[in-house]
Amino acid sequence: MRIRPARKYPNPAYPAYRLVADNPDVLSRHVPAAWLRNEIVVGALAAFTLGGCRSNVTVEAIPPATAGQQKPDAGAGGSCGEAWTPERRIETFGGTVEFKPAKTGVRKKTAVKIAPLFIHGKGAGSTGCVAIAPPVFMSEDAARDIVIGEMKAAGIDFDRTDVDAVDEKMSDSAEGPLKDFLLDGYSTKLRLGFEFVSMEDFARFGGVHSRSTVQRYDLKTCAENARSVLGDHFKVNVAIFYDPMTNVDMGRGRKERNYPAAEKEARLDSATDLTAQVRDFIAWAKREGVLK
Amino acid sequence: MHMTLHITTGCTMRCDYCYSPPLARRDMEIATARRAVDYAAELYPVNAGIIFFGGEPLLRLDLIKETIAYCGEVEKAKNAHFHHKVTTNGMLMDKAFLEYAGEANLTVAMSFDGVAAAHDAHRKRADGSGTYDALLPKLDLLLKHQPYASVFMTVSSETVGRYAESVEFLLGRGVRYLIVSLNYAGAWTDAHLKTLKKQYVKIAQFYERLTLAERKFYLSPFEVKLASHVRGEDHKCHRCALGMRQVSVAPDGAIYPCVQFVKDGENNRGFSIGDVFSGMDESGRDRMYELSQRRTPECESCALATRCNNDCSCLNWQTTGVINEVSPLLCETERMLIPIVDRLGERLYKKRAPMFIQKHYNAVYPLLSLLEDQEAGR
Ligand code: SF4
Repeated sequence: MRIRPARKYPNPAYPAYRLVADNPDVLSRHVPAAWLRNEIVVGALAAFTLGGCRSNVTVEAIPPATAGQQKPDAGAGGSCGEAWTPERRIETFGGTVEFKPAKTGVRKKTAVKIAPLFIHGKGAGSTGCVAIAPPVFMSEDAARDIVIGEMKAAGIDFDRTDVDAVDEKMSDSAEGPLKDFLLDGYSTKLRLGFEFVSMEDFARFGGVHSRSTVQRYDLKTCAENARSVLGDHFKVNVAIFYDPMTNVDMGRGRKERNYPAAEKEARLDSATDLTAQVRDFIAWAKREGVLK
Repeated sequence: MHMTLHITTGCTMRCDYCYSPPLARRDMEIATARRAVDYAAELYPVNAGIIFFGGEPLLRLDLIKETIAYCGEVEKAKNAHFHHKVTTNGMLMDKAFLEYAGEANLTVAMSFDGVAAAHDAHRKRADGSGTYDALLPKLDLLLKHQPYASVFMTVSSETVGRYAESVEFLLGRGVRYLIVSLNYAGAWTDAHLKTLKKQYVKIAQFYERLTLAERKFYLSPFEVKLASHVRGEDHKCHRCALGMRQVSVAPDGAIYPCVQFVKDGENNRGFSIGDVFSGMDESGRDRMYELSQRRTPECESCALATRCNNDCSCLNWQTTGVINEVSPLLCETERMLIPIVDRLGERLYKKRAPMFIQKHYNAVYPLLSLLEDQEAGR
């Protein structure tokens, strides 16, 4: 027995993770039979793995009942908010929730504009035993300060917070994800509300709590789900923002392995990303005529 | 961050490969355990893991219960979060304990070495009798209460011929998470290595059959090596990283960078990096970590360096006495296992085995798998 370094080693003929991540079709085409027989699993697979901007769950992989008999247009699914997004049917602690595709722009029935999501921050991360770079979560209060402050600087006043949208007749649903839902901020003058999707909204908008010691949060996907729900039921314009969830970078090579300091830095990055989301929204709203 | 509390050096068994055999019994005081919890909450309030370890930790179930109750108080007072695990030999495990574990969200892991001949070769009582017959019903009971419980299996030179048979046995018994370690401190010869190679080939065939049949399981040596190619350097984020993501606390509160350094809690102080009362010696820990990351020139030049377990400091220390110096046995077994696992990965990918693809390339595989199990259980 001795130590014998290997001079050469051929690259194995099975792909590295990033190659499959860049070609999510591989995941949608090769689904275990037991999963395909299970609507809940297929729905979750579509929402969490294949959803978002790169949605392209092929009909061959998803049984018609789950795919909603809605065949993707040729070439669709390549960009966010385009012709086809998979239905999202997700089991939460409160039961099964269905999220249908939301479209950006004027909704004919209500003439309400649903802003697209403005992507700043990856809005996803894990906590738990193997999560070595856990994210920081932004509180609703901290987010409200940023959003309201930034809007105010652009001349937009939000006169109300925590508004019961159903009581105020801004919404026509008090069921499902909108049960006991409060809009984070509202401008009576502009008939414009905003919702910040935080960890507190995780289960409401489709997040699934893990039973293992590792929990993954994807608040960006939850925000996309929120768009679809609010788009269907709201009678006022709504902007949706999400927690950027910056990871606490305790990586090698940093002199300081001090958690509080690294966490502070991450919070600053999250605040910067949320500010950028709000600024993008303001620019979009001006272009769309929501704000003059 | 995981904090492993060595709550007692006492044990109900006398396994002859144990790296910290029970000598004089020392138990942790509740005040020390509480201080350790406070310290864990300071270090990592997001989700600190408190792991109860021994000796045999269930000898001090009272202390486990008190500590978990205290974690609950800290969670409320300081907005911290904890999760709990215990690693047991199973002798004292019973229904009442498992019901308590269920209520307290305490994850239980158990040591079990496989078929009777393999298990009883080392896992013995003080009188030398084997424990297989007593522990097999306990394993079944554990899996009934915690179907995802991890089982730790050790393979020695004496039991290597039963490695594949033991893996089949345990996975067949319903174990889903099988963590296997070789006893590197044992007396291995070239003949043993030949046997090990044959066993790895057999296990690879078994792994392939199970995966094609879409069975879900985790078999650590194979999963880790597959991940070392699929995930590249990222797969190392699962490692303990010597004192960075995991520390061990001796009965008297002294902190060590890994479980194996604690020994009897008294006589290996050179590796202590502080204590829970006055805090961690961060510069000492960083020095040790940096040393552990320095590869030897041989490993530095090796094409398998990033896929090899050459940076497991406690294993290196245990076998060579130096935390960044690998043993010839480790080098041989790593060079043996990696190509066998890669051929397996190639076969499964070529066949586009759905379970292989989802398990290794889908970031939310654990969640989907759990959903499937929940639905199946309805
Ligand atoms: S295979 Fe051997 S030489 Fe290569 S990195 Fe591992 S221990 Fe070092």
